[in-house]
Amino acid sequence: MKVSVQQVAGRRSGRCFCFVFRHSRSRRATARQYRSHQHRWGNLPSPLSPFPTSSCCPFLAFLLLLAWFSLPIPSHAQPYTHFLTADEIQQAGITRLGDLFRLIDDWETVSIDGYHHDVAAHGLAPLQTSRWMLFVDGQPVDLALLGTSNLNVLPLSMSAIDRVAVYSHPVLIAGVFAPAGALHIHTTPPARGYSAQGQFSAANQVNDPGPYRYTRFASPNIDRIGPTYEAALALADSAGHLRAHLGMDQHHATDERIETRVRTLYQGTASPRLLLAKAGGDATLHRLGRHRMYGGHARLQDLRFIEAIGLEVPTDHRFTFAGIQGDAAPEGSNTFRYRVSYTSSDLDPRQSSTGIDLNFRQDRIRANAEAYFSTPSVNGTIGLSADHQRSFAGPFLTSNPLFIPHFYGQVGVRSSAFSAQATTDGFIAAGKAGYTAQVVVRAHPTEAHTLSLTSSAMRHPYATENSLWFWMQQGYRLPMLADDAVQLPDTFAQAQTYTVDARWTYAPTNNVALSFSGAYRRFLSHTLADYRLTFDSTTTGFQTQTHVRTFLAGQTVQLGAMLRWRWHPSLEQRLTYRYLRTPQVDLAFFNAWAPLPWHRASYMVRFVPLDRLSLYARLTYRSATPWLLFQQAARDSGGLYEDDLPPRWLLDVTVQKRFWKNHLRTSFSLRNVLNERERQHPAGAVSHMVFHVALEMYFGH
Amino acid sequence: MVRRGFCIGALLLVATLAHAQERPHPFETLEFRLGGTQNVNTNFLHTFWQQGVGLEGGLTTPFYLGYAEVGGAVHRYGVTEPPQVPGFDALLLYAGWGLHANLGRLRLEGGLRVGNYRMTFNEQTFAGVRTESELALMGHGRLALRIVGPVSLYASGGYQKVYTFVRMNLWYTSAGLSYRFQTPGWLETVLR
Repeated sequence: MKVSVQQVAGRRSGRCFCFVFRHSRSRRATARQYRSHQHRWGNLPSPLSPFPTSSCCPFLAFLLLLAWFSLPIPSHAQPYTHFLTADEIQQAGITRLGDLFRLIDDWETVSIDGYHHDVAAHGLAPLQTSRWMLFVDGQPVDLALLGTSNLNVLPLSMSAIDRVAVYSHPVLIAGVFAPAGALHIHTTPPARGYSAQGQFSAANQVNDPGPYRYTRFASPNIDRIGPTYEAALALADSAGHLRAHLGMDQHHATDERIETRVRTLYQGTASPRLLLAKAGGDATLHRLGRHRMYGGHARLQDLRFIEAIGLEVPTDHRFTFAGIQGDAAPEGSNTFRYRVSYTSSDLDPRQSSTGIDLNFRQDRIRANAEAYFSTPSVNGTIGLSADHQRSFAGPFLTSNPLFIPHFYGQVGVRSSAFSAQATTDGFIAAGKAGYTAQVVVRAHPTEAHTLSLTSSAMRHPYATENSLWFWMQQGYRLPMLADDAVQLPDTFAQAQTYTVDARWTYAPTNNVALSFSGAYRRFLSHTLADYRLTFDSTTTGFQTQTHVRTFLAGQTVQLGAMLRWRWHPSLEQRLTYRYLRTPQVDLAFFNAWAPLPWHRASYMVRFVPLDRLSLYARLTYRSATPWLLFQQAARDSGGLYEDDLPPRWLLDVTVQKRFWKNHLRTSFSLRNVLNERERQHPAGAVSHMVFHVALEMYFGH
Repeated sequence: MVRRGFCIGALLLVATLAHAQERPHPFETLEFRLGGTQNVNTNFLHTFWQQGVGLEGGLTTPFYLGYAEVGGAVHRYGVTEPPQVPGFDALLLYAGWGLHANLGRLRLEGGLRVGNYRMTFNEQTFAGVRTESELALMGHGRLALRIVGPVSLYASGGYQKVYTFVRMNLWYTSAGLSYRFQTPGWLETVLR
């Protein structure tokens, strides 16, 4: 019997290997083609572009004019938006904000340590730029700092989330145009009277050495994930609410690859770990309209991998945000809204580090005022907003304030079978003008069929990307780097992006929906980093040569399908598939996009047989990903790092039971139940099955 | 493969027998059990450690389908002579679900458990990390004979896999007494 088991395993692995090989070989061939292409064409925009710059603007301008002036009847057409509900988030056993990405099918995430996530939203930006945006109750929250964003530092309680809107296309929210997708977290108002909530969660990954640690079969220890604690208090009545929360979290860096790198710059006696403490609160007042104030602070003692340095840098990351917003007549058809927000991100050296100091701080103030009107057939918004940002980096950089004024408008028209919405946003950044224009058209030829088309055009000065390279050009210096380790261009090009999203949905009943979608993005004059990583045997990290290239061109094409059905009110299932390609692109563009899998599929089943019992399962497939920039380092590292990550199947299962009239909720999750060897990044941790437990108590009405 | 087949087969058997049985209300009763337990197989683990007699206890209650249980078991692992490694005490805390069938005075149960296997090492003889926890999955079957009123005598067996890097695959047998009683109203409210 053993023999047959091995034979089966062998056949399986053999088939798996062939699959990997086929994928990586074809993609490498494509890379070779584009090296040749770049040799011939340099970084010029691709001559094969179907949307050359000169012809695209008139085309979109025409669409805009059409929507603004020609359509017969107005509407509230909105681009397709996927919502994660609080129920789904809880039933999936999610207790960290960063783990929300596990539930989003259209977005790709890659994590080195399981705590920081590089995110690419639906082909809108590569992983290295982190250009997606976050909004909380209509307020932008500027998490991005030196080119990365960590959702976990947001001072917001998981229990406050009502739903998360996932925008997988450019979108205007609260006077801010998010060019590369957005997450919009909507919070739920607390129940009337007093309420209190507390939560504990922890997880443990398998493959600890156990008792064999004392034998010659010892293996490295793998510490637990968490524990995570949260507590919240709230008071609410008809006039408004007050709410405050505290949270603490830990994440351990015990993967042997990461721990060795971390020890280069981390000198603590305790095992290296990330420590997060955060507190926040919000209040609403329902007088003279509806007004909301909020604020929060988070401190993350971080071990942050910086690709340009090639190591984890121990940092003390402090994040503060505060704001106020209001709506003069929230239920009315005509209203006036205002928003003011402040965010501050500060990177200091962590106590237990060798003293290496990223020494960067950024303060940002956003203000926005808009007027909104609505009739049964027409609605519109017109507004002004301003973004003021300033960066500090010790003696090297105290930047001139960057002030970006915006003027924007949105109009929608609607009839029974057709709706359209046009949006435009104009702004000036660092003396250069930029614009965004978008048209959304939605048609219902029959009750069961919906067709939607979203088209956008954007021209953005590079300063608006708030990237590490921009600040380095302004005078910021990354520590530990030789002078020639990063080559910056003399000037950054103004990026142009054109996107089209089309979707057909067939929903014959409320219980079944089938949709097919396609998305095309054209990028011109973009700026990306081209890394050359080599293995550093002293630190087991990387020596990195970074060449920041501008005037890059490329395009992404995606096809997708989704089937959602309910056989029974208690049983919901969703099947999705997405295919992504980056044809005819510059080499640096190709290198930046190659880590995204071409194929991704997922199957979700949610079984809620009783009000207080649920079973949630999600099976995800990602095809192999070649990391071309890590080829040299992988070769030299003797197997420590890989440049070709194999395809992987991940199955997560969660059982949740609520007790005591909903006062107590427990979740048991097994993540990666198939115990696949999961590695998302060549320099990242290898993880296996994880057992996750969460316990939440709630007292209130 | 044999072990998986055994567990699946046992579960199917119980499921078949459980079909069309009268189903009690969820959380209507609680059954407390206490007994001795013994690791009965020998494998690579036993090259270094010798199993001793353990103690197990748990609570079982009817669930919406089948039954749910929580429980724990303690096992002591001594060392072979001469000692090359420290001995350890293992505490398994688990939650489980299964199906059951009543056959007159006999009750047959089969189900799955998932839990945490915590090992506490003897640090007096060997320095190092004193405790370690790991995921454990278990399939088990139990046969109980009602002897008087709510008291039953039971015998059970199970297969447990602890997901250490070198897996710990352990077969157990257990025997003991169980006592069934009506769930107090307040507790039933909490459980519901």
